[in-house]
Amino acid sequence: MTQTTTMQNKSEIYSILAEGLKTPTEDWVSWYNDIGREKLKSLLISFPILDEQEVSNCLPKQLDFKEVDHLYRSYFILPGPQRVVPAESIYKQWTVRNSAFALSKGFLMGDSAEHMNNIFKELDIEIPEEFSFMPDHLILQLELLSLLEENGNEEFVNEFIKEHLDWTEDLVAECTKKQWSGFYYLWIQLIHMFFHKECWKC
Amino acid sequence: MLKSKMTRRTFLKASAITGVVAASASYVGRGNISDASSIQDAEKIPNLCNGCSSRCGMTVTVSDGRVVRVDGNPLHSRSRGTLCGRAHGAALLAYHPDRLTEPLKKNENGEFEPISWEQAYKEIGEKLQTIINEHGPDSFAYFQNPKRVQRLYGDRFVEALGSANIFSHNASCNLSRDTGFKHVLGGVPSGDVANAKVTLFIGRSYGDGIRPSQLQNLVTAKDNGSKIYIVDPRLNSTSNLADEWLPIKPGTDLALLLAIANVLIEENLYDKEFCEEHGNRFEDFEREMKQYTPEWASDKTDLSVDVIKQVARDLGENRPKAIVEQSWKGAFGCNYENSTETARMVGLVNALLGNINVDGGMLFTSGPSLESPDNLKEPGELKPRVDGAGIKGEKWYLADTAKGVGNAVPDFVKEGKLKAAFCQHHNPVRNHPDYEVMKEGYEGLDLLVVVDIWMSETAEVADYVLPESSWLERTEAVEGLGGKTPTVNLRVQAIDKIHPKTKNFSEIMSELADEMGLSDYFTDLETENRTACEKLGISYDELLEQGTIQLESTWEPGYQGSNTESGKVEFACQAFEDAGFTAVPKWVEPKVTIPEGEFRLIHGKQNIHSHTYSTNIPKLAQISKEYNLDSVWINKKRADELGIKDGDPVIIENEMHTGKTTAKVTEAIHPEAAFYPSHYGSRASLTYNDDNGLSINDYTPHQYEAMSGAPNMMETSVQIKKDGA
Amino acid sequence: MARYGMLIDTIKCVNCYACSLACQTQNGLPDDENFIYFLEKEEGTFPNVKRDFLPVQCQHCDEPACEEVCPTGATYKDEDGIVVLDNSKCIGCKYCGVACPYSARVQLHDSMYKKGTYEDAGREYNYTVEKCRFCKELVDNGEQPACVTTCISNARIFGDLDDPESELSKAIVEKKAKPLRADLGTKPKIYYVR
Repeated sequence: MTQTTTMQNKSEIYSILAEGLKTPTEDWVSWYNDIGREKLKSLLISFPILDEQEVSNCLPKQLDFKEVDHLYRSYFILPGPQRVVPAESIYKQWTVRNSAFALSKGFLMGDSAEHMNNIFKELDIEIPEEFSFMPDHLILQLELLSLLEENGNEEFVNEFIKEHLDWTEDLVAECTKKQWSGFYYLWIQLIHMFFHKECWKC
Repeated sequence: MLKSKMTRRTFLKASAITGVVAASASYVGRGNISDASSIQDAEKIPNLCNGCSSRCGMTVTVSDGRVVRVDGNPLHSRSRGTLCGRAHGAALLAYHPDRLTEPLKKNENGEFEPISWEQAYKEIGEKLQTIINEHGPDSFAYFQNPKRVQRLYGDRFVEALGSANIFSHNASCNLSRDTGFKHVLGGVPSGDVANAKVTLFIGRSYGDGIRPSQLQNLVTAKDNGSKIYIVDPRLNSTSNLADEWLPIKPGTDLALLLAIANVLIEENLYDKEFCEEHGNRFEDFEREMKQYTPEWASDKTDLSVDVIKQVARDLGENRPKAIVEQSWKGAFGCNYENSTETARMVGLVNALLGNINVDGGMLFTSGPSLESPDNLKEPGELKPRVDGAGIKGEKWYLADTAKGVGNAVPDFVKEGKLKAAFCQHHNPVRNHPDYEVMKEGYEGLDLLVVVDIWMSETAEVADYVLPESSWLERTEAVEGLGGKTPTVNLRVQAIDKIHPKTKNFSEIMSELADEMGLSDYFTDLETENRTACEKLGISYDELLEQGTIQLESTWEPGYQGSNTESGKVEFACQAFEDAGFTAVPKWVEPKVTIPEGEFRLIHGKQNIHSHTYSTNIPKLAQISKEYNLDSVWINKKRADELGIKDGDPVIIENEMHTGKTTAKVTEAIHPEAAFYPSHYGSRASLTYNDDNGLSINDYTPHQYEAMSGAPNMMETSVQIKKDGA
Repeated sequence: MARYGMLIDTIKCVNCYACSLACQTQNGLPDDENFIYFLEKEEGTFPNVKRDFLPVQCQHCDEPACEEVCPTGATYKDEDGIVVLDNSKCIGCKYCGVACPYSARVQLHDSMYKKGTYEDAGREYNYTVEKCRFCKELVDNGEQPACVTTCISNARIFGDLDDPESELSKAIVEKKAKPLRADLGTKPKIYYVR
């Protein structure tokens, strides 16, 4: 495999992972059922570091749109006992600034968010209004990685992941605490596995 | 056909140059953020704290658009430059992950779904109009936290529609107290604690339910050698400032007050001249008090005859600079069957001491009068209140109309009298006793709209939830504070809205009013604020800069008459007789007698929390956890009998609820009382307060005090046993 | 040059945690780390009971036990008598924590460090064993320590013990304030009214 293909593969992986965290559509679910699952699996197991069985376990065979849609709403959208906000700031210390609340944890719009905004500005990227209070949302971070890989900037990607994607373990822990199960729980674990096993370095 | 390509819905909008830049950009790490010099550009903005409802003046430091610190505003009359812990905890509220970010509507499956503001206004407006057309304006009610911005935009909205059903959150706080005071003194005075020589606190603890200026006045009194008595079944956090703790049997404060009146009169230690000149039917009162001897009261209260006599004499001998402090929720805010009667007697003992509106006594001061622009349309005639407060012949005729019997909503709904309600920054489903009854009641409304910053037990049963900007993201209405020196105060927006789709309460209500064709009643906040300042002759710009402005004192010492039916102090009160009670206060037994082996579950505030919302703030939740603050206090001797040791897991149960907590075994509480703080036991789905203890309201049935309709929040008995025993 | 000290009037203290939260924010500490902690002691039997509240922090001893045991000289007393820490010399050995009779030393960010969330902080004092510094940065600027300013009952007085005219020196005499466990011989400079 040439380096370029790997980069394209990675770009594709990030893109699919991001897509899976967006409001589900019937189209997307049938794409996943028919094509996507196998495609993602083969992309992932091209990394020798990932175990086929482990990857398989995180990718349920048949998704049901209604079920996924329901889970999505209770896990990401509706205020309730299972909602999780996958934004980096919440899982990191708030700021390194000279601030009274420097090491407070659990709040939006910390340094992580500010830094994401700086990056988007530098790359001349606009983010949707509904993300203005969480530019460090996992979806945007995955999309950014996809874009960077697409444009062949591995160095940027590596530095970015080191600084910005070290919180997925805490995210998994939060989902476990909130008693998640099913597709999104596995998807988050898959994302964590990818970063934790440092696939991006391969 | 199989779709081989995924339809991408890319969120990131790349520009023409993005690709080129992305290909070559070198990563600049977040290290560049840690530039400590940026704090130098910080801006200091005056604000009013929202850690509780006292709204202490503070300064918010903002750097690069983010809050970086908070400090007390030395110019403000309540904080005087200090801040309690809640201020430091609440500072980051705007960035809390539980914030509501867009309007929500409950769909037919009982799930919330996001909708646009336009849709929310349209649907709410139409539904409300239909309900009013069908059932009349009095089928609509509004529940609020009584601050001026809520009155300007919330109360006005309700009144524009022709309804008088305005309820504050005070039913579960001080409805009985205010009802009692209103009828005997025409209102609630403030004890001039700093200048009094003797102060008797009943259930009120300045160190637990904090307002810094009050505590500082008490410290001044202490430094000046005043004598301080604290009457409380529990040795509260203010106890070190007291000369004496009177560990009264819970629910019997009225007996103590009746006996104090008895001693003052029998021993001629009262202000005879004042009572005869300014008292209504004083002779009836004098006669009735004869029966309440210290011996009688000792039996009721578990206090010794000597102590009762000593307190009465201390008060009488130091009059008029001797007071029974007005309290708040404390012991008689809304807690017992005799709470309104207790409040009446607090008012009347003060009158016996001749301390009404004198230095070191009970002061009636007024705040600045704040006016709206003249061209606003005024509401017309209003339908009578649904709770009948203030209406002769109605069940709760006596109840203070500025508060209302808000806890009666489930009954109004059942009776078909109430169909629609708005609720703002108030959580009645959790804050009134009996969650199940409250939940069912509020669910039974045809339309419930909740305006808040995050979900609450009440929001969860609403039809629409509208997201409000949090306190540091909004400017509010100019508001006044009374006192010997009145002040005008303002909350000024300190940071940009974190969530672009949230709105200020003033915007929400006036936009909904536009939708309903009620625009003429409203104007924007800036116009309201500038008008209020202009009419007072102060500069709005100065207020924006300082957050507070002191006005000339308008307070005149000396009794100025009372805002009561007779215009005098009502030692006997016709209204009570009209309502089926006695004109002169008399002893009323608590409704619940505690059986042998059980405890009366009493509650109160903890100084790092406010109501039931602050346990969702990580900094404050952490203190609760570290110091085991969500424990139940039980008397050592009783605990020994039950085999319970300090820190043991225990079960509190009665016919309504069973729950687990830990025991704080202490000598500092009356054996009959079990004290549990009132902040815990949230059932709302919030991030930082899951699994956070018990709620006192799960153990108390839905019930009413006969006089004021208050919810009798401490009229309940529980069993406590060791968990696993 | 001064000899800074403090008076804490525990009679006025209502155990409200404001000082520890103000301290936490002044020093930008995480929610579960504090330089001030509270002890409560109950005396007597019902109904003759007293509850004692005792806020404890570094007592800024004139002869600090922590300084004595510090192997690198990181802990020292500055020219104003404030016991401070040179973070660059601190190796995180915690001898000071063991030696301090008041349990006033706190290893910084232990909880966060373990979880890996602190790594990027870019602050120089990771893992060092910190303490109350009488808000030296404020005091040098002519202001009062954060715990003093925020105190809602004005229970704390900060000042110069060498100046007999200071509010602090006068209050110590007038209120007969005493240090905690003076018998240990470290000559602490926080005086308590109890």
